[in-house]
Amino acid sequence: MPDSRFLYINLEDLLVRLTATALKWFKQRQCFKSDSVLPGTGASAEDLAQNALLEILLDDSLWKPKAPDEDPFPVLVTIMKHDFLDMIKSARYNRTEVVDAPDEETNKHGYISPKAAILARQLHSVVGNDPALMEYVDAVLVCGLYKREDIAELLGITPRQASDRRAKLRIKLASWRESESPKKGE
Amino acid sequence: MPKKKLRPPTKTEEDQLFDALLGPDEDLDVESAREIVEAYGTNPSELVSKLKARLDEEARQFRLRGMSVPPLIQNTLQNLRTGPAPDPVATDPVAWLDGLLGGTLQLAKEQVAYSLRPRKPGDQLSRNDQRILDTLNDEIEDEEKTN
Repeated sequence: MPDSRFLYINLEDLLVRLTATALKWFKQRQCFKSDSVLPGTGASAEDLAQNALLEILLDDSLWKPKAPDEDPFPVLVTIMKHDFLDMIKSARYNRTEVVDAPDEETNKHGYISPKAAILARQLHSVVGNDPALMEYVDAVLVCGLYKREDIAELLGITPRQASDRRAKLRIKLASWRESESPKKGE
Repeated sequence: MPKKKLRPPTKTEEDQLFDALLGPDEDLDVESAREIVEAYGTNPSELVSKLKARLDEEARQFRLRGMSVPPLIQNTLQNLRTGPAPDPVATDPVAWLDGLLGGTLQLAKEQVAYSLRPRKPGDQLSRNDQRILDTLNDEIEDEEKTN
């Protein structure tokens, strides 16, 4: 009986979503390019996405869709996340903390935690000339709001507008990282 | 692969902050993802080419070892060469039914069907009723995770 899985999926769309998701995690670890490797691991965001897909292709018990065109993205993201966590836990990965936020910085600006203060320092340089994005970032890092609806209510905008700001931040952050990162060979 | 790998890992504080700022991973749509990948200077078609090269190599290794290429790799390579096939429910219902009966496709997810005794609006379930429902729900979820 023929197995029809992966015949009906738009693989380019799937791969793009997986790679963008991996890029977000790599960004958290200070990797700035889609093909730059996580220090000590030799793996890039592209590798992580491909590896997760290969895992599911080699073990056909991992994904049994309920419809022929079902999206395998959620299960692949979960597999990919486990692989990513394994990588950063590995002995070969020695993470160097590039930035550190002293307690007084956290307290002075009212950030919800030292981690939030570190993130704010990075993000404010990205969105500094955009007041709408600045207040969006502060709604999370200062006011501690995690839900889109709560952020929208605080800022007096619609949830749709909050999503738009979030999308704008994603793109701006991706572009900024690219332009700020050291070029190959430097 | 251990089945626990199919359960989403616990999110750290940093993960939650990034989710709040940039959106949860599962909400990422194709258009946004494409913009992000392109902002990093990567052409989506390059990603596809690299995947195809890797799968071609995987298939070659299987053949070199005298083994047959796994069907999912064959399907993916076929998809990469000719593009995704049209929706089989509309175009090839027999193959779709074969998939269902052969176990490579599953019907809709099982879940508890609630049939509660009549209550006034605003009434809470008794602790015993809630415990029974929670237990049933957990059993179904555990069963799905082990399958």
